[in-house]
Formats: sequence, C-alpha cells, structure tokens
Amino acid sequence: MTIVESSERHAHELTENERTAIKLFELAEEREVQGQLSDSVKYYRQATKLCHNVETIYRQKHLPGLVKKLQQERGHSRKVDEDQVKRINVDKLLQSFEYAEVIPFDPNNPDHLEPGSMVIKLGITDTEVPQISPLLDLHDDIWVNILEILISTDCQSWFNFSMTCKRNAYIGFGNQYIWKYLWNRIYPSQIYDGLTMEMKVQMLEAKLNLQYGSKPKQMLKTQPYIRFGGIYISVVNYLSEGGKLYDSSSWINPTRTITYYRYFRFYPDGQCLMLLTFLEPKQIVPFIQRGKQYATPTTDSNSTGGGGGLDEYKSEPSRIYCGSWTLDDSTSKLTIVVTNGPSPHHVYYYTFVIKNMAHYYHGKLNWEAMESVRKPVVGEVPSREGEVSQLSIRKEKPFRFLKVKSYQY
Amino acid sequence: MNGERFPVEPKVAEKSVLIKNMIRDLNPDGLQEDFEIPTPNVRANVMNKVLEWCTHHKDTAFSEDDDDDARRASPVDEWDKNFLKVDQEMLYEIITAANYLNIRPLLDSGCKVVAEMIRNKSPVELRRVFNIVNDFTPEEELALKKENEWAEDR
Repeated sequence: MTIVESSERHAHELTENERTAIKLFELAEEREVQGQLSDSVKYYRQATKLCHNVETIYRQKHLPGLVKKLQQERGHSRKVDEDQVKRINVDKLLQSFEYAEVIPFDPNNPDHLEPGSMVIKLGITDTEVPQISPLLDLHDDIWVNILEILISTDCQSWFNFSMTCKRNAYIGFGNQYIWKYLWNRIYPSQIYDGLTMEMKVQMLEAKLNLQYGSKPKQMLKTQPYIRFGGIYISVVNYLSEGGKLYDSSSWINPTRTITYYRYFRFYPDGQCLMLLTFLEPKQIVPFIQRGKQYATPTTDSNSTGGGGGLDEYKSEPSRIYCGSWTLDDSTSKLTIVVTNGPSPHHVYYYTFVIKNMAHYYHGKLNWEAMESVRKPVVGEVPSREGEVSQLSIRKEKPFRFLKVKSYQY
Repeated sequence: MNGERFPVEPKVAEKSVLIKNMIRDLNPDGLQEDFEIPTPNVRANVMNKVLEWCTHHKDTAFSEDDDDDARRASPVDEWDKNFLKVDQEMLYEIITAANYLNIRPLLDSGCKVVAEMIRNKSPVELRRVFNIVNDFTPEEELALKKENEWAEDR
C-alpha cells in the first residue's frame, strides 16, 4: 500500500486566500519559464497582494508535499553521493551484474520497502517464503524478444523494466542485441541526401563496424540523429526597445518583451512540419499533424469561419508549413527546405548542427544559417530568380527536443 | 516427465516446427501409422494447454513473414489473449514450451502478453509485478538512469 501523505494534508492547513495565492504563484512561475515575463510579473504581484508571504508558504508547506508525491511516483528519494555517481563506469557496472541474483520482495524485511510505502498485515501473518515472479526465469533470449517488442511499441517501458534491478539492467542495458535493435529502428529511418535505402544501410553498417568498433550503443551516443517521437521547440525571448513620443518627458524609452516559438516535427520519410507562432507548446503541440493546414483541434474552423480580419489573425499563428529535411552523413548537419513557406516568392533553407543536452544525446538543434532563395516570379523584370538572402539568426535560440506521447512512432 | 500420452492428429502436432521436422526426418515417405514423440521438457498439464492452442489454430494460416517488426507490432489475437489469462507460473511454462517446441505464433503471443504486463508501468510498479527488490545502490541507480535515459525517446 502506498501512503499519500503530505500534499493533501498541507493543503487543508492553508486558508482560501493562501491557496489562491499559491495557484497564482505557480502560474507566474510557469509563465516565467515560458519567457512571458509581463504575465509572470502580473501573477506574482496578484499572489503577493493576496498573501504577502506567499513564497515562504509555497516553499515551506506546499513544496515539500509536491516533492514527496513526486518521489513516491518516481521511487528514488534515497540520498545520492554525486561524486560517486561520476566515478561509476556504467559498462563495467553492467558487466558486474551478469550473475546478479534477483532478490525476492519480503514484506517482513523493512529494507525491502520502497521509499514512501508501507505494508499492512491483516489477520494471520503469512509465513510463506517470498518468491520472485517465475517469468523472470524465462531464458535471456526470450527476454530480449520481449524487450524488443517494447522498444518497437513503447521505448520507455524497456527503460523502466531495465531500471528495476541489477539482473534486468544487465538484460536490458547490457545486451548488444538490444542496442543493435534500437540502432536498426533509428539510423535507417534517417534521411541522408542522395542515398538510396540500400546505400544508406551499407554506409551505416560500415560506419558502425569501422568507426565504432561494432558497438551500436557507442554509435547511438556519438552519431547524431533526428528523433520522431516528439517535437523540437525553440523559445525566443527578447526585449524590444521602442521610441518615445516627441513631447514625452520620460527619461527612458518604452520596452516590450517579445516571445515567440518555433516548432519542427520530423517524419522518417523526409517530411517535416514547421510553425512560427506566439502560441505556447501546450496550446499547439498536440495538433501539429500531417495533412492539417492549421494546428488547431478542429482543422478548418478558424481558417474558414467568417473570413474577416480577426479570423485570419486567429488562424495564422497556427499555420503549419510543410518542408523536407536531410542529414549530411559526414558532417551530420541538418538542412530543412521549405518550398511553400510564409512568402510565396521564396524557398527557405534552415541549417542546424545537432548537439547534446548534457547526457541527453542529440536533443538540441543549434542554428547555423537561415536563408531565402528567390523563386521565379512571372512578370518580374529583371528576374531576381536565385537571389540568396541571409536572414538574421542573431536573436534565434536553439531548439530542444520534447517527447510527445501522442506522436507515436 | 510423467509418461502421459496425448493422441493428436498430425495437423495439430505439426504446429510445432520441432515435431514437424522430427516427423519429416523420421518418416520421409509420409506418416503411415501412429507415431510417438517424446517431449521430455514439457509437463503434462502444460502440454494439455499447448495442444489446446494447437487444436484451436489447426486451420489458422500464420504468416510465414520473417518481418520481425511487423510481427512485433501486430496486436495479440483476441482468442490468444483470453487463452493466456493464466497465472505467471503457467504463462512461464507455456512460453518456455512454445520456445522449446518451436511454435512461433504462440511464443509471440506469450511474449506480447508479458510485454503488456510491463507497458506503462514505473520501475516501482514493475518491482511489485515481479515481486522483486531494488538492489541498486542509489549511486548505481542514478548512474544507469543518466547513462541510458536519452535512449528511451526516439
């Protein structure tokens, strides 16, 4: 049985005003993270007005409850020595698990309880010797098969299973077949310019064997790839300084915060979807799908209704542009081409380098260049076809990958 | 082994590739009379269950497709799903027997049922499913998480 302890209990101790203030405080935090600083300040002010020590209450009463709840869900509230973690060689660690015995859960042993859980004994105490599930005795080859089924349908389950105990970590993380299976699901789905599927597989296999010593995991960690089970988001946030009225007596120029988002969703057939909008991820991400012109829950309601200026304004922020993407197999640079983009007279080229986000490999796209090339325009004399314009990327920010459960791949 | 006999028609027995090959190797001219095959690795109650599956599917034409991805992605057959609603001990026995007797469609269904038991559960919940203990030190657990979590998103 799991005890849910703190968050509710603390919630009862709070007054109505304090609870509302905490909600506003959380909203303000959320906006701050999204870069919407004006909104954020507004909510912080409202929260403080309702309850002057909202931050203290939040940290002392509300936060510990939230942390405990999260720890119960994630199951790791044990103290960790970070220096020791850094010293661990995971490959050697996995090898040391080869003959690890699985320990059966014994409800009478307090050391076996997961943090935040307890056992309730009813009636006569069971004296049976605890036993592990017989399924764990299935042959390793059969487990590899089961884990491959999970990888092909829900990768996180493979990861979660492998995090249960030493023996399962050895099967799930220490097995080259599993990593090769993952490798097979990832690299052949990448698009390399000018390579047929056969040439692509040959090139990738050669790379794996010659460059990475036939270690698929090593290649997966080093050789960049595009992910399809989520979205790449760039949040751009900056202050724009305006001008004073000519008769203004103000000492400073007015400023405003500009926040906008860029989104890219990739597909293994070489297509990608692009959006540039002020709409934040939770408003738009679930609706970025192929075959839709607008990322809205009901595809056409915004674009066709009324025909007035307001409707057009509503629809444009959710407009999806379709493009194509390729990776350069030697430099691993990503190029995205959008032929029918925001301007009908230009083809847009976006170039990125794929980078790591700390331990999260290949999760970041760093800008290299943004260019537009003039298309042939009927009646344009002299023709400006092929004219290249470098567009500024000074204010642009890197894209970060965000997994999206509904984008099943 | 308890020496029990299970008389079946060849069509049912041949769902097992092991038995099919055995019959073909020992009777190159086709079966003329009753033929006894010992299966020392399979207990009688399990053999009963496996034969129930073989009898139900005796006319099912399973795809000979070697495309592993297609086989893995296809959902479990509804009848199989109900058939495999057994305790973990019996599920273990059926999967092991299907593996030994080389009955790939039954092995696939069994593996998919186990995969279903794992799907959408946290490591804590999975330890409860398999009745096991977290035997990592906190440092080992974090090191493994950091080293591998990038791979769970594709």
